[in-house]
Amino acid sequence: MKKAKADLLQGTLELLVLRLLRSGELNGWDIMQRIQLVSSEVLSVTPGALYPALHRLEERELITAVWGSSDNNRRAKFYRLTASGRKQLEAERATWERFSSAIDAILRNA
Amino acid sequence: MTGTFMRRLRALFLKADLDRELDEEIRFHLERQIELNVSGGMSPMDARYAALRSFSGVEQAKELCREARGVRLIEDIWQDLRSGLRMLRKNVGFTLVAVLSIGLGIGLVSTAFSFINAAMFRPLPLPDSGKLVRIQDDNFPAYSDYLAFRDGTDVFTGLAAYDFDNFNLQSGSTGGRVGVAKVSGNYFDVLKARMALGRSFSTDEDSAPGGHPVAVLSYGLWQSRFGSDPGIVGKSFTLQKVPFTIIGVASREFQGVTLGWRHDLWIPFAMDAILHQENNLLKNPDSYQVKVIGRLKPEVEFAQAQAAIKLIAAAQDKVAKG
Repeated sequence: MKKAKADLLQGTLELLVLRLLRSGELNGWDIMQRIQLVSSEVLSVTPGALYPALHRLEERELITAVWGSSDNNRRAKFYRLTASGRKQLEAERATWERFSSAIDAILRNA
Repeated sequence: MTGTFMRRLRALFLKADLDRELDEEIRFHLERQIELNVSGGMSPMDARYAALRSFSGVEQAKELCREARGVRLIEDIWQDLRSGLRMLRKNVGFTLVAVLSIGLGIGLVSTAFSFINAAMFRPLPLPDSGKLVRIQDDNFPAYSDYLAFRDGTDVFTGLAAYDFDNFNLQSGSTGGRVGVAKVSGNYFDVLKARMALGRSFSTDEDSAPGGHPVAVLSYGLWQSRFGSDPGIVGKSFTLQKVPFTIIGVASREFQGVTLGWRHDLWIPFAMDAILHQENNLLKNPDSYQVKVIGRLKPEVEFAQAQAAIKLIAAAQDKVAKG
């Protein structure tokens, strides 16, 4: 039961990362800040979870990395979506939407 | 043979690059977090501690990243290579690094933590920590070097060795990944670390490979995983399905001597022979690297101990080359 919960969270985090990279390149720090900002501080992710997630996504070639200058002029590793990443994002979003409608339906009618 | 050797060598260089990149990526994040903390009002020292803690185990996070990239496989190959070859070590001048006025030491001497300066450290929450020293260079000494330092000098009341690992812990119906410190039998004695419950290891509990499946829990793990059970001493759990008996719980303030590694529990180093049968310090003493921390005798000066260590290091180099 505990393992299933961890997997769900892992998958959700990866989906969030893919979504955030849809509009451009971001480094790990930016991604963490965005998740908090965009969710109005409701969601937060620990770097200990985020970096392994980024590396898993990179290994699966859903994102790719390039080193560049951050906004404070330091070297940082930026990630961007690959073509398969974009496809995956669409597939996951569709699944997520079906899943959350199903949940809504249950919550309304139960 | 040459074909495989070259492939492994190339894989090794790749690992070094990937490791350096991982270090740099994490370091960038830590620096941004520290800046944020400082601008929020924390002192630089607290800012750095908080940033490292926000990872709840920087080294574990890095391990997970490496696992994700399949780099661990390369590490295994490298260990095979090193145990198969005679290592021609360069003339390493092992340095004694005073731990104390430094306080918590950094486990990995890597470029990742070069930005951390002395201001970051607090005195260790251990008695007489002023006499604690580390032995390290660009690399960590091999286990056989550690034994030479331990047995060939007269400047320490005790010299301990340790290393870190992650294992799957199972206890009753719960389980999970834990950060483990594998330590020599005298580790707790050398550090004078106190126990909250039970006792710590005795030196003979680190003698026979797999002979003493005992463990000391961290205070935190005792609370989170074992429900602060006052009768915990004598109970057991498994690591990678190997059974261990709990002999003690460390005091609340003792969290090891390395920043960035979450210490959930301590086991005797000799148990590694069971947990990592193909490659452990007893099997490959010349290539298995360990972190070393020791206590100087009260009458011994730092410089004196430094000289003694250099002598042994030079002798070790001769042995390696010969």
